[in-house]
Amino acid sequence: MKTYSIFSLLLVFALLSCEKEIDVDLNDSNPKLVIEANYVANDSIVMVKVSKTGSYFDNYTTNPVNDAVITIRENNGTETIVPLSADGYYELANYIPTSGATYTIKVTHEGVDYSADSKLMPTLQFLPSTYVYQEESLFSDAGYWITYRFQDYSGVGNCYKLITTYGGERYDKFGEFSTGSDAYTDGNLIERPLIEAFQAGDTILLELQSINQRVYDYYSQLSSNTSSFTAAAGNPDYFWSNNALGYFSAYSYSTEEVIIVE
Amino acid sequence: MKQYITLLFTLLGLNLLAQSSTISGTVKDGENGEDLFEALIIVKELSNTGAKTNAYGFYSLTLPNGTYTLIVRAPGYDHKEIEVELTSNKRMDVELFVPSAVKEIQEVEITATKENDNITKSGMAVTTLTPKDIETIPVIFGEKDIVKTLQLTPGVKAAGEGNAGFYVRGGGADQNLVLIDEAPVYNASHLLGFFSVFNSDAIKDVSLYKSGIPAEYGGRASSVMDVKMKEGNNKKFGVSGGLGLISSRLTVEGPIVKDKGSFIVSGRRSYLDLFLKASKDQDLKNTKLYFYDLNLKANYKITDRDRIFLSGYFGRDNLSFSDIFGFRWGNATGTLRWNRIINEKLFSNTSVIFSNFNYSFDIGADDEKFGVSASIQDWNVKQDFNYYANRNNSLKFGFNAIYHTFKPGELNSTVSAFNQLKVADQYALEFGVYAQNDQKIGDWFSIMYGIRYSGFNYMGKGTAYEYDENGVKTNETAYKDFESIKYHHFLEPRVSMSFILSEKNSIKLAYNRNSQFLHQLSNSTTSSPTDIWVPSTNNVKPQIADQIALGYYRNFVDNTYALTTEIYYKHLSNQIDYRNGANLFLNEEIEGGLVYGKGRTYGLEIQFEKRKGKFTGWISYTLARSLRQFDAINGGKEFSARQDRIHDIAIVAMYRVSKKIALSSNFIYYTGDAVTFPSGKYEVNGTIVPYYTERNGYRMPNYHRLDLGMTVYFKERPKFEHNLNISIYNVYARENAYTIRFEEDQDNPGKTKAIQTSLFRIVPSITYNFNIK
Repeated sequence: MKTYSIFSLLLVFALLSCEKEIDVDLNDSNPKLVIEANYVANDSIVMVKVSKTGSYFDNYTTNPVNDAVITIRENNGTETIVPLSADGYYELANYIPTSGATYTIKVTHEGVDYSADSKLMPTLQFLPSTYVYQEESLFSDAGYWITYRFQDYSGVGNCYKLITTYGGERYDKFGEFSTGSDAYTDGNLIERPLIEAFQAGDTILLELQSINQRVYDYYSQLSSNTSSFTAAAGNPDYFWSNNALGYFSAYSYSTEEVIIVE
Repeated sequence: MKQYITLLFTLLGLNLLAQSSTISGTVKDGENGEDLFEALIIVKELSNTGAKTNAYGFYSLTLPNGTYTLIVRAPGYDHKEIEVELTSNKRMDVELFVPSAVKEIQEVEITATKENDNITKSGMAVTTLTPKDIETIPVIFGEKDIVKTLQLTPGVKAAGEGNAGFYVRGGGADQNLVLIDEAPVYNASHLLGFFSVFNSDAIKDVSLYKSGIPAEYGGRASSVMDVKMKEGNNKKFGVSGGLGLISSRLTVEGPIVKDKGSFIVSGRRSYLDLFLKASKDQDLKNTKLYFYDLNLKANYKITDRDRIFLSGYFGRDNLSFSDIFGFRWGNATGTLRWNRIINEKLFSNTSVIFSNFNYSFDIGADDEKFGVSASIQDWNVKQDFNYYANRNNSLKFGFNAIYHTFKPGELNSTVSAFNQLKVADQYALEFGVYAQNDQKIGDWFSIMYGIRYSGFNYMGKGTAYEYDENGVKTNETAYKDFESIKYHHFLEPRVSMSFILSEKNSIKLAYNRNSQFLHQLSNSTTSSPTDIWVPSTNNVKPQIADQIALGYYRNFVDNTYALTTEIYYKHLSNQIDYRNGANLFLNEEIEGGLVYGKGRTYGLEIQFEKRKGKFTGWISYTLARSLRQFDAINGGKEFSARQDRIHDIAIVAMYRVSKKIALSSNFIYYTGDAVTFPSGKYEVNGTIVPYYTERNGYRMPNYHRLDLGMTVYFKERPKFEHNLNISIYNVYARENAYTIRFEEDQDNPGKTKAIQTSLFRIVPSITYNFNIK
């Protein structure tokens, strides 16, 4: 809750508090395996990044793992190797999707098998976005507010994740404003604002990933667990067997380009 | 049948043959007419025979006909010796007087006789404090606070720096039943926890039960804090008050009709925000940061046997920042009570009690505004009887029924982006029926045994949801008004025994089971008024605590020193925690986000107290653990509860230098709270996120501080007395960690540093108190 930061502020000035940097002895002796796996159905590409956790206080370095053996299979079909393509990155191109299939990735590292499933959901298609100019208010800057729109499929349990690209940067967040589920909006026409004001002349590229429920849950847990005031700090529920960190998302996407015209 | 009745009477020790009569009445303070609780009426001629007054000052003692010398005494009062010839039932009302200040110092040794109640009484682990006991103890900002003094006794721990919330024997802060004149208080603190809602000017006494909880209390798992308000002086008018740094207090009391009825009105308001008014910054100028309390009470004796009381508490906090942000919360309670002495052996107390806690906050102004509000409200009917069967048995029995209304949250908004949202109200009827006997068997053994039946009917109107093992909703059912959705109930045995080894030492053993149907959910690590109270439902299970405790008590040197040693083991069932990523705020399906586990707490508590003389005080030490185990958390492995403080030491020393000056000091040390810190970090979609290894696997730094205080009593006049209290909190400026957070190092991107926030270092304060008699 954002209100806490306001409380803290008030308390700070009212109650003579002080802050200082301290040494906290954290136990970082056992790095954990992290597997970020994506199967992008539209592009027929499997991308897996394997690394190890780093020390909490030190500069983050990816600690890539290059000696993992990775395979993918569709439903209960045959395994296909996902080969190492760059430091810590494994990639398999031209892996053709089957609509509604469940994919399994298995990562073998130092004699331990880590596996995870992910179901491919139907692709949510963007409908034309709209935008409207709003004056500055308590909650927002002045500018153009984009509403993105798409039609949810009834009875499917769709979830989505939105990625925005503008000014040459790709914003790939997992917070509450960039992911959604249709738990309360099943089968509806979805119209949601982007939490950001744009100016005339801006070009914004939107990517709507159709993810499954489990990936959505993973992102929401990750986002709530990184909040500093949470009473229940912890890792998201393990996606991988044998408790590797990370996730596996098999998804498809649709895109839309919005150019703001005055 | 007949033999059962005979057996029952034999068990109760009733002697049907001897001619006996009952002497009964009340014991009051002769100065102001206040009822005296737990005053003793001792029969000089018979060993280990006597009676004790109940919460309303009533006692009853049945003795074989004869002539006796009764000694009536209460701590802090001159005792009285009264000769009575008992041939038939007799009413005897007694008034006791506080010795004058001059006499106090000289006569300490004389009043010492029979001050070994701590050894002989059957209940264990009760701490009773009166505002007088804490008068000189230094506290933060000089705000006398009975709850903070209780935190200095073994087994009771502050919820955090300067915090009026507390944990008893490893239980959660919501496991304490906090009552003011029988009305439950749902959020007993002001200013986000720094002050308790109890204005000590309006308080008569506070009793805290840690184990062997009497059967008359129910509804919380860990402890009972029973706060009684003063009745008001029924002899003459008086005005008293105090000026402090944070707040000022004013109390007016007096007779309605002399010796028949009295009233008291006591108010307190903080004025932190007045300092802000002086600020040049417009926003700070418009910032509100205050709380107030108002305690009201009136009582009237309709007949010799009937007395009615009306009491109320109203408290409110307001925290608002310019026009942008407002946050208000508070409690309101009311108690209408009727005491009746039905006959010389039977006393009845009937009460109708109201309690409400609500909070609201709003953000924005005028046409762009949204607000959230929530509340919990109780209507409570309570009937208690005290039956003084004979000199060896006193029974208590009765019932109560509480109708709860929960309003978990409502969002109102003038901004179109926010939908109106209301989480449906919930309703429940909670009730208890109990019976308890306090029995003496011979000179060396006494036993208090009782049973309580607690029931909780979660009912409509409302929708009950069902969830699968992953917290995903599977079904929902609508219920009509008052239609039962789920009924929970328990039988709760309560036993405590005292083995009186000699006048100087005793051993006590207690077992109690307590159930709890209301639970407070908190989604942050700091306590907040927005913590949500939820009922037990078809999904939320009631908490159950089973506790066994053993104690050894010894007094030394004519009861000047008292040693208390207790060990306990408590098992907690159906403890509540949160599923990963659970959302507690304005969530209709909040129950799907909860997981249940068990807990155990155990410990050793030692207190060594000097009770009399110029130099008084105590040393208390607690060695304890508080552990939890949830299948869904920490891989099923047992982990430390946040309040798992292993060592806890408090030293309180008070020294009456002279009639004019009293000095005091506290020293506190405890093991830092258990916390969850990350053990590493990794990247997801280009964002760096923390990696956690175990729940509460780390510790905050150990906490310690020293406080000093001095009270100067100015020359007392017949109609006026006043004093000045000066104190320094945290004298050696220990920077105790309030929070530790992690943030990216600005100078060195990619690196993370730990930042500790400390709140109070060397806080001097000064308070002026006066009393116009």
